[in-house]
Amino acid sequence: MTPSLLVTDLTACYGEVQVLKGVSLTARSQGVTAVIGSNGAGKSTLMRRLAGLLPPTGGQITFEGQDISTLASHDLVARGVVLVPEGRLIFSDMTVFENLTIGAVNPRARADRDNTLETVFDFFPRLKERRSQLGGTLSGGEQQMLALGRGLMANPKLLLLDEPTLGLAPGIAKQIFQIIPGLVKLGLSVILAEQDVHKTLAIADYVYVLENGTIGAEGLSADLQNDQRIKDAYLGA
Amino acid sequence: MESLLSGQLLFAALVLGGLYALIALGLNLVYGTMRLLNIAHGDLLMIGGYGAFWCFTLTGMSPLLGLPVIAAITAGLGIALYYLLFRGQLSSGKPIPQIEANSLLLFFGVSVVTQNVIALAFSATPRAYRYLDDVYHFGQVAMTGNRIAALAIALTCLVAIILVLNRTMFGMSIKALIQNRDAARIVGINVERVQLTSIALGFGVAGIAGGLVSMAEQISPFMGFPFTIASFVVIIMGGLGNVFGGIIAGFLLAFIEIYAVALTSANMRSILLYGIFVAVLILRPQGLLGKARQS
Ligand SMILES: Nc1ncnc2c1ncn2[C@@H]1O[C@H](COP(=O)(O)OP(=O)(O)O)[C@@H](O)[C@H]1O
Ligand SMILES: [Mg+2]
Repeated sequence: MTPSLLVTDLTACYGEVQVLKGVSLTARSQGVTAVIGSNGAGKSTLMRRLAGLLPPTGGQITFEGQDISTLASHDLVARGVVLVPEGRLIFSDMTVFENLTIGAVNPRARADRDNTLETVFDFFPRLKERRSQLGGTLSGGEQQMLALGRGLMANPKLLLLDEPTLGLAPGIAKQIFQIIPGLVKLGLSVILAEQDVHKTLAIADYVYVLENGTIGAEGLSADLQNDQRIKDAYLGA
Repeated sequence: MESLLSGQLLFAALVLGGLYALIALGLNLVYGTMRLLNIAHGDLLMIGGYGAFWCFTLTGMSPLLGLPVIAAITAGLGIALYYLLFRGQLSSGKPIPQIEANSLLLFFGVSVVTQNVIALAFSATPRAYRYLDDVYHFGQVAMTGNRIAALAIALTCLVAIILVLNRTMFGMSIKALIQNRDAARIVGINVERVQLTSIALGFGVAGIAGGLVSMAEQISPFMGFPFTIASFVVIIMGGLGNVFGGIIAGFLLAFIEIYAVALTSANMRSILLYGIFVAVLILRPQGLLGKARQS
């Protein structure tokens, strides 16, 4: 396995409060690496730190062999590290088309914008139908598609997906999950933060369990499925 | 009553509306992208006014030709203030209400210093010059050349800025940052660069507006404050950070002001302005034309 992203001893704080207390993980190239953990474990903090949205406080992040620990968010996007955030954060007062266009703001994505747009519309035909509609008027599922589509417009190499199905109806959640393997086929690497262990184990190659800001367990999905501790803690009786 | 329907008031309202819209646009860009409340905004007009005055009286050159230099000076001031006072605040991750409050105090200081420096340098005596003051008649309406020029230039600037905001990736980045700062960073917008350009653009445009005002009205070191108030009224009416709402509100306020003064007296102007300010804050603080930013 070639690593896409290498994280060593990463910390993150909100003011005085330290949330990540030394996280180390490796994201595999062209695979799905999952970070599971209960609410408040620090998944979103990890994703936001990786996306350059939190000030660097300690630890190292290496992407494609280069140190990116202290890069600003726009530099990370330009290099291909792109976050699809929890809560979606689309631009509600912009149309679907404008949301997607602004997704391609980085120079590497800009040149290829029209082709990428076609790819995104292939993944999400619904977005094509709604291209002139304001983002804020979309349903929750459509907004999640828009957030994903906007992320893809940036021409990412590593996609950070933070709970992409949070609050969605089961049918739509399933649809969103089914897209992830398709992204990997395109050549992307994915880090997926999730609470739903069953669904995650089904599509992830390798899984880290985040507990209170540290990695409590890790392993291949297949191995974790049979791990008694994981079963007890997360899979229920 | 007849005079109210004349084109004369309409023309006056359009000229003032163009200026208000332009001034408020600058204030809106700075507030929208950085949440900085620039209470020194009117003082930039004053600087622009003095720039045009000296350009004309010292060199005899048309103050219109001096406008690009004036814009560069006020834009440069914006860039300097950004690096000196605001850059650290903005990247510190302080909560927005704190940034707003701090900026209000800092800009208050900037305002006092600016007014006094100009008063020391050029005295507090009001000044004026005569440029393009020939009167042209269009039907019943008399227009001075400088007011026609002011309207034309204000409209040109407004249209140019709207085109940039709507048609270019950079303009879309400004709008994105105004709407949702977090999302703007996530999509990869260089927030620092957009902020810097916005403050330069906002300050530069205010300088131009000051140059335009000085062609038709006298200038003094303390002329800025009513413009500050007017521009705050406008951006609150238009919805804070709502660039297009602000443009419409600029014309709206000018029409209210011109026609209300015509119905009463010129003494009513300030009372009217502050009255509308207070009324809008009490009755509709989210603006007449709706919000632009997401919470
Ligand atoms: N903006 C913030 N300021 C302060 N504390 C925060 C902030 N965001 C999250 N936290 C805290 O950090 C911890 C981890 O949160 P988060 O990363 O959102 O967890 P998860 O995504 O796994 O649910 C929680 O205790 C949460 O209260
Ligand atoms: Mg989370």
